[in-house]
Amino acid sequence: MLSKKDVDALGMLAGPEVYQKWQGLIEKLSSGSKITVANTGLYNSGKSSLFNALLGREHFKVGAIPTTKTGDREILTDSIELLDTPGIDTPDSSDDAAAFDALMRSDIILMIHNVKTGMLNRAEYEWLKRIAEGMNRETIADRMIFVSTWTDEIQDKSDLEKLRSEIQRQVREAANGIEIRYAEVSAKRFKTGIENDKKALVDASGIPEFRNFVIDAAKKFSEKAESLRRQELLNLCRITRDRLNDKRRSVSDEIDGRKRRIRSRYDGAFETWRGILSRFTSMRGNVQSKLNECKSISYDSYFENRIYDM
Amino acid sequence: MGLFGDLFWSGLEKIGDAKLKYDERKIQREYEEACRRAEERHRQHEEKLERDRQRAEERRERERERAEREKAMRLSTLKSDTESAARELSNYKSSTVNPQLSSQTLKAQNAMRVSEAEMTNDVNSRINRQIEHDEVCDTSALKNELALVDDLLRKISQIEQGNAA
Repeated sequence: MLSKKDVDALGMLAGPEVYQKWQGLIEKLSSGSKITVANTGLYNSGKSSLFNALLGREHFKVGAIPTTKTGDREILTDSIELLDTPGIDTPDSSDDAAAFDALMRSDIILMIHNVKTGMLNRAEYEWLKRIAEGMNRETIADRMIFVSTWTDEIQDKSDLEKLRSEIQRQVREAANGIEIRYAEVSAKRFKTGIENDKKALVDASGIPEFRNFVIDAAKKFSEKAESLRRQELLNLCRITRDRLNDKRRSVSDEIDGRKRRIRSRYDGAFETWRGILSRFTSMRGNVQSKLNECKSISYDSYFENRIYDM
Repeated sequence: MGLFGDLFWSGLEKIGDAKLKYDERKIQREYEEACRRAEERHRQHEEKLERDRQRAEERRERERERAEREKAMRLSTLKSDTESAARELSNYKSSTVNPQLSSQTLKAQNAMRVSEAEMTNDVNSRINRQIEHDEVCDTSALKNELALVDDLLRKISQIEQGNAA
């Protein structure tokens, strides 16, 4: 496997996305059998609330302003770890980079959408598309779950049905035609049900069902993880090799270009010497010609040597 | 014949003898004169030929001397020109050619003796050394990057081989 130094070099030579994928893969391989379930979505979409609902306690910070700066982790089960990532499309663009980096290192990604806001906005759509493009196409269906939250806020069932259909269409389109698993929950209803000890509300929130769904998805993913990781590794190797070969070509071209520019700088030096030598040859030929003429009149070895020694 | 006749004939004989004697002397004299004149003319002719020979010889001598003088003058001018051209060549080598050279031996060599091929080799070597130096300075970072890329490609290939199905 690549060392940290190698991965850092890849960041420089093959681009940040390749770097992030290697970081994620190495982290996954070093974390053993534990499956990381990460959430993502707009800030205030209910990501942390959903995770708290899954945990059954208030572990992750919840707020109307961006709260999660770095990925916060908590154990859900012996084999599952939850990773709460920064919200996307915040004024601080470094949050997006941190979130993407964290997602690429995770096993299962929960894309959280607040249905109160309607369909996916442009930022969410582009974000989902970027995640899908960043993942191995063959693993997207196993690794991604789209979760609509705040469903209790939509009273009209037909409105919810219509919205669900539109959202699912958007998700499919963003994932390049791949069918992403879809779930609807209401963390608020769950919380109210827990606080008021109303099982009906808890059940209606969809949280217990969703928790089982996530655990089941993680278990299935874990079973396929090894072959998926090998596949992911080989795929990543192929992408990395292509990027490195592109880089190699561009660096080689740059070296050749610089060498050509340096050599062309010295064309003048060669030309100057040719000019100097040409004049020298002409002058020396003139001396030799005069000397030959002198010799033809009267051979004078002393004079000849004197000329040759000047 | 009578006496008169005898006298006549003896007188005529005497006159005839005398006359004959007179003609032989004259002829002899005339012959000698002619010989003398011929000898004189011959001598004069010989003298003239001798004078002509001497004059021709003198003319040739003068021409030879003039030619020698002209040759000496021409040689002197030519030597002066040659020296001047050689001095100019030597100055050109010191001022213009030598700064292009690296080899102290070639710099020290006389302009008429130095090898043009060796000078060209020396200059080309110097320029090529500068090119190589500039190339090393300008491309070393890129070459390091290339070596790093090759090292990573090798490692990626090893990973692929180790995980191939």
